[in-house]
Amino acid sequence: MIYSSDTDLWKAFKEGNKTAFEQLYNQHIEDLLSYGYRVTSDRQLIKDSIQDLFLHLWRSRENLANTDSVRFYLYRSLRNRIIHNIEKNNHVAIDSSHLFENIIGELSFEDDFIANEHLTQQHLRLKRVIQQLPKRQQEIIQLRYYHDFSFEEIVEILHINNQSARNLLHKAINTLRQNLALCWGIVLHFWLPFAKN
Amino acid sequence: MSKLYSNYTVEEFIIDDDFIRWVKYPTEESDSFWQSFLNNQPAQTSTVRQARLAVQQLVIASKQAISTGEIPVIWTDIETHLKDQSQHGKRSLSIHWSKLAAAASVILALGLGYWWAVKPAQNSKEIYSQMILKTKSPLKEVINNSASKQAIIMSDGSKVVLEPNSRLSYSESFEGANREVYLLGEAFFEVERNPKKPFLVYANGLIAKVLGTSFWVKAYEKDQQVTVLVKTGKVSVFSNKIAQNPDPETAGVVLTPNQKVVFEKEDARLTRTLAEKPLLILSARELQQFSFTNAPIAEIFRAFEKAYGVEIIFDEEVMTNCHLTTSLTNETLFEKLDIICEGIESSYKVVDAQVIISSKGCY
Repeated sequence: MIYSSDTDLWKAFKEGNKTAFEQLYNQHIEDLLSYGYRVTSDRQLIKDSIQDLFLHLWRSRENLANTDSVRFYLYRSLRNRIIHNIEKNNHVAIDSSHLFENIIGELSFEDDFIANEHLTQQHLRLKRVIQQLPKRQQEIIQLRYYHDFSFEEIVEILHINNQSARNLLHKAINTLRQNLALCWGIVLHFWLPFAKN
Repeated sequence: MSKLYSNYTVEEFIIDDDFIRWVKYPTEESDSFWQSFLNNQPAQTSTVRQARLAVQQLVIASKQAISTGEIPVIWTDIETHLKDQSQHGKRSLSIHWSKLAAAASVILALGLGYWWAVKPAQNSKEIYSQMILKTKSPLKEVINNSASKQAIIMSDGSKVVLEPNSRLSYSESFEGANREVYLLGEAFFEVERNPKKPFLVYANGLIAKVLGTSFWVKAYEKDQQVTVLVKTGKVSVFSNKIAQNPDPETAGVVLTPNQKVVFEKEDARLTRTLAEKPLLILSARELQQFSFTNAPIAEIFRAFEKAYGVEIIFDEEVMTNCHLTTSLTNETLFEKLDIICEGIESSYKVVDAQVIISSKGCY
């Protein structure tokens, strides 16, 4: 059985339906992973945190509230877990082999991405510039434009106030504009009017 | 609203919630709103176009690409933990295998045959059975008679991979001062770190004690020697015979990376030496720094000590004029030592897990 609405899925999952749990995982895992990479570059830590999150979900399913936004709940919990795990591991000396693996990992991401998605040069360029932004700016951009969270939700996910969130996004957009002024200009040339009528 | 938008810059449009919603999910209503806005404010046309395009690009480009191969791997891990939970009751929520990799690795191996030839009073299986009988708390025994490896996750979060034809007994609750497990055969252990509760592996008359580590144990029934090899971290190894002493560990040995101990069951003798092929304990990146051009031999030996965690003893004064050009790639530690010693007309031997260099010096 495939649950078509988030609410039905959540309900079935809360009742202990394993299939619903797996569907919940499959529906969100790709975007959660993608989001995790914006929060930290430590891939193992992301995987561990996602694992923790889903294990926690299953074990405490009976006590979970009937949430109207499962997505929001998942992203906020994942971020809290990642931050918690980073803080917990903070006293552990940085393992340089880990860092090394990370650099390779990011290179292979780029390769995947070139192979799988036929994006234009502009997209590639924009993507690279985003990649060079500070982590938190990358995070807010992805939350806003890709994951579709509203400002109110972002404020809660990031644990910052409304003004800070706006400043953060504004800063990110400005940097992108400065770096891509040329790029966007070129595209404009080929751009067609949006209104169909 | 319209009044406000008339002064908006491209940046302001890009971050405006209603504007983004319209670009991503246009409706008839929002389309007509923006159409009429532009009809009234034709000067904003270019700005709106730019902002619209920017949002469209951001939607696509802001997604961090991922490697989808990880998706089933994480799910398998989650399922394994859930299955384990239903089998073993409550257990720690967070198991981070990555942390364990930074801990120790040990290999215990038993030599073949000899034990039966000398007609021992006890065979390995009897030792194993007696040890299990002596324990107070009830033990769970896992016997792997299958042809493939079997994974076990214990209540403390420690993970064991049991080889075929092997059995492991352990307490499901790990009550008491130590976490004690009994092995007959071969297994790989990844022990969740807990300094307050040492993890003891009883294998064929030998005890390997670890605080948090990962290691292999090979202790098949008919085998007579036990070998413990440490990859990283520290492991204390001592004989079961002296375990009756108030502090049996004092009669044992503590192994550090790339050190190996051979345990002769007959006389409970422990002999420490080095691994046959010592493994590098540094990361590939740290290793790159180890390239030497006409460097003093002392500097090279110190790098070897760091890279393999072994102790190299040499007379620095005698060898003060010895210089070499070398790097730390490809060859094993002993191959490198062969090459170096040939180059400077020296020799080496391994005594009690240390490399001792004999040299007459260089001129």
